Amino acid sequence: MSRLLRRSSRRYWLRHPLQAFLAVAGVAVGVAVVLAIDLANGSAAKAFQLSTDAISGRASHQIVSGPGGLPEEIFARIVLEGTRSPAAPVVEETVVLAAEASRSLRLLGIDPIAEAPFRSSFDGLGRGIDLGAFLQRPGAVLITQETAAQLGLEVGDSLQLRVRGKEKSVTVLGLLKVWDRQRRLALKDVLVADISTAQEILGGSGRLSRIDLLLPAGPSAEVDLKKIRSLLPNSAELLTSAARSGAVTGMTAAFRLNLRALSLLALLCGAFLVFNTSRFSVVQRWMLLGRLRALGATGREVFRQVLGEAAVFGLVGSLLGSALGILLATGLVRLVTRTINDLYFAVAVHEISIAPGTVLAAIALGVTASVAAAWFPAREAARASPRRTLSRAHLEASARRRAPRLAAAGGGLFLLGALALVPEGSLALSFFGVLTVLLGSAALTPWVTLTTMGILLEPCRRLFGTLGSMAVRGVSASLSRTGVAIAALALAVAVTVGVGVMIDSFRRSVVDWLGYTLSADVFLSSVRLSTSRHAAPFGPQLREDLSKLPGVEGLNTLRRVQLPTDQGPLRLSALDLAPRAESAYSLSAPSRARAWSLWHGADAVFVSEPFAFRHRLAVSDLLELPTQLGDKPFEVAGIFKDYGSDQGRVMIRRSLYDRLWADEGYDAFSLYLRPGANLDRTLRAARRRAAEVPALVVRSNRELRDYSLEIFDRTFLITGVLRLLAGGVAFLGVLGALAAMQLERQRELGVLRATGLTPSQVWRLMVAQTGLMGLVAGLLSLPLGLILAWIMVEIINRRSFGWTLDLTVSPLILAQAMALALGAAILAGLFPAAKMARTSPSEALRGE
Amino acid sequence: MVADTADTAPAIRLHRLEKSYREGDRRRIIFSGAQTVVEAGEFAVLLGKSGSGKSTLLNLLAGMDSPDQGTVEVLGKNLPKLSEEERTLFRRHHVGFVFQFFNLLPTLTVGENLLLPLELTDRNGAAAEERARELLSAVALEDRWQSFPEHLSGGEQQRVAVARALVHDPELVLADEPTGNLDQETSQEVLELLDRMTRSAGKTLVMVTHGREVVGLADRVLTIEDGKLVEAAPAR
Repeated sequence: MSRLLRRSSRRYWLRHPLQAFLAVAGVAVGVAVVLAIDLANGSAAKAFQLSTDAISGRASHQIVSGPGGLPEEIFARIVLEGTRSPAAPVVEETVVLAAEASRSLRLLGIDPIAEAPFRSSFDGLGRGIDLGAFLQRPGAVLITQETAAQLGLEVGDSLQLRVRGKEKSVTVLGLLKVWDRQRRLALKDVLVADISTAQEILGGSGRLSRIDLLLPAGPSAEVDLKKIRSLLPNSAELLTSAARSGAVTGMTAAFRLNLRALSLLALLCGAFLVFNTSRFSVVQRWMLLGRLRALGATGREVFRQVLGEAAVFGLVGSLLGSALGILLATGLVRLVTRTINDLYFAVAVHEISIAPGTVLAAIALGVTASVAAAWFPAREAARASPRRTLSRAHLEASARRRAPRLAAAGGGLFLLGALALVPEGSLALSFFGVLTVLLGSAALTPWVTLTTMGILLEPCRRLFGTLGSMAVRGVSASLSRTGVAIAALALAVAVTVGVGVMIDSFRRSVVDWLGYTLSADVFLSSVRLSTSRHAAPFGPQLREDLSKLPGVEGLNTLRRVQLPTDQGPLRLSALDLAPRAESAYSLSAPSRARAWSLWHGADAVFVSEPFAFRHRLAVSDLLELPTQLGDKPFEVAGIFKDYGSDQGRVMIRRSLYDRLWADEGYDAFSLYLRPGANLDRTLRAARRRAAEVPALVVRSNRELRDYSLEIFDRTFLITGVLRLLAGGVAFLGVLGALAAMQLERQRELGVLRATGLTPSQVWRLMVAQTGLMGLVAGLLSLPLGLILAWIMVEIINRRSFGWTLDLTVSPLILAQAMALALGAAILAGLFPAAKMARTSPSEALRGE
Repeated sequence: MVADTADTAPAIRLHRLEKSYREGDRRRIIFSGAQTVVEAGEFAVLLGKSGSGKSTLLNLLAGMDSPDQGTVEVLGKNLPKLSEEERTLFRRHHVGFVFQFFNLLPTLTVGENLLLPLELTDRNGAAAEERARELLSAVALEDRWQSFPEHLSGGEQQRVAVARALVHDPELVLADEPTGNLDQETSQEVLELLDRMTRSAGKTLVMVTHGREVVGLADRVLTIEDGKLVEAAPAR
């Protein structure tokens, strides 16, 4: 029997290739999106790890410091008094080409003698490269062959750099031959110099960026660590390399989790598609299954048959999806890395790294989702008694009877989802809550459909006569099929509404924030404004010159540094604010006046919302910062809104910063003009002055605002792409559902044609019916989408990033959602409607 | 205007009818030069083996299928010469259909199933409902106006189907094995009903059937043999 069951199953699907294709396509797209996001995230993380490894090498620990770096003497003291284990000094900074200010290179200063145990990439130093010249020749640097080729350089050529306002010349002493491709990629755009050469280029003689240590594991390391700590100045931190790179990659954890959650949404839509297909296949074969049961096939055999079909769809879809996912990943990785570069840290991903484990996991996920989705239809097919399976009316009647119970279960799922959203700690639990709310709404759909159709019946009958009531009743009469299709469409549209409202609310909050934060008239900053890049700072002379520009009444200065802490780098902004700037800050503090008085007179700081969220800080709490005079407590005088970084930042007044950190650099300036001053004149003067400083750009208020919004839109581009993909999968689902539903009604439509309905009337009837389904989906999707938006804005965003956003609902988004639901349903109904309208009534009456 | 039909013309005139179907690589001939004439008001029965082409002939008469060649003249109109739209409108106004599997529309109540052909021929309102109720009463199901088809027995469904086929007062009624799914007693009831209602209204009835019991009621008996329509002597 089972062999024949398999054959019957195979033939059924061969006769319904469109349905089979849609099921496979749904899983394939779902798996592709999940895999692509995983691969893109993984590739970015791996690229970061590789570049860290290539630069940090095998160091077990690193000694780092805040702005200004470490005094060189520390290295000598550590080698002489601290440990006998290998130690290597490193100088590292981003520099730009004099001829092309937007092209940045990384200058890495190393001690080739101390280097050997740390970085195998530079083993070539002893072979074919004149070590003496490397150590002694001023401006001597090494680059990889690929970088040389890109820059059009050969051995002996010189290269002009702009460093801290001055032009510096370096000479290519030799080419690094790195055989390992990954390391070669990690060393792309890196200039390697002797440490003293690098110090001379950077104009920071006697300072180190960090010291790498290679301490053995075990108790002897603890002794060494204790000794080393006693030798360090107050501002220095001793960190394990793993903790340092872990903290950096940890910064993106919430970002990556959000992407993964969105990608899983696409898979959920894919699973819905399989559910749809399995359910339809069962419904369509209801009579056949009944006959099989009547002939002696057991419920278990029928169950296995339906589940086996889903497993095959899942496997084929997952395999295709894996190939598609790898292709998609190459596109998505650019979006992912661009966001990481904009918001977190600099990383260059040159290729997708395909981890077999990730691919296998995606395949397993696809098959599991398919089998899980087919579970209920299979159980339904197996449990029905042979007598009942012969009756289609019974199937639909029981679907209608079950609707209220299913709705009650949906209400229960809603409640469970709400409960899962209550605990603040777990982001994963919040996503589980979202999933449960979505499933709850799917369970509510059949009842909502019946109720809506009940309300619409009389008006449609009055307006369109018997055909009108037929269209309405057709939806509720085929509830076992329409319910699923409506649920799939409603979910997809709700996700569109939810994500759309969230992005819209976010954007409006950012626009408002920019409105009051960017109160100055002219802004000057390094080429790359985003927080992840750190170029050499500008000197104090520039500040003086800018304050004397025509029309300038006041000046803000900003110095952005990163302080090393156990939890990763802490972003500190030292500000000197013009009086007018103070009123622009949206501060959360019991007394604004007291907050500003503390800012001006005490050891106090302001922290951004995300920082306060991450570090669980409130106003008046104390925050300890590693200054060059040792760890010092600062009172949190206020919490300010800041959408510039989800890691958060700490704001300190410049005069206090100058007292605690030896650093006279600046990263950005903003100018306030006197009332009536000519903005264009000041802009022209500022641009003239900026032309003398490499990597400094001048932007007007509007330009900076536009630039900031451009970065915002870029950040959400990937979210938009994922939303589109999830919507696409759902559309496939609706298309499959409607096609199957309409095609199986061909006998009924044949009767209508025989009774005298013209093809265009049949077409209109069918399109009206799918339009009604779209209407229900749209009506359901609006409240659900708003609930989703609220969860994302008030719960997910806050728990992921600590931002508070003002939830704003644009009527346009709601109208778009309604149009989308109606449009998608009608569009999906067009093909089957056209096909049926074209079918000759005699064929339709003949049946399958 | 397709609704205009000649009163004096025969109800049906088939002339040199050719029809075949493609089955894989082969072509299966159903009709080859078939011809006959059925006068208005006649009850013609079409007998034949399964697959001989009986249902195909009904489809041709209803304008739901087209011949390869030849004339299919129904109520004075040569259907193959009409467009799809015109054939549909012709069927809407002049033909009633009774199917083997009842084929009532499951999403409409019994009353609505009867109202549909009237509505399609622009007869609405109280007069239409009165006509539909009259027909339902004629098939003795007046109390089932609000019921959905799934709640009716097979015999009841077929009686509704008979009423639906006649409700818009068509000149030609086509019945495709209307008793094929009914027990003997119910079959007899339905046949008598169909005969009575069509005769009393002067309709032409063409019925495809397997059962010879109907032969006694018919005016003409036709069979399909080797692609031709052959006249058999009626039992009546």
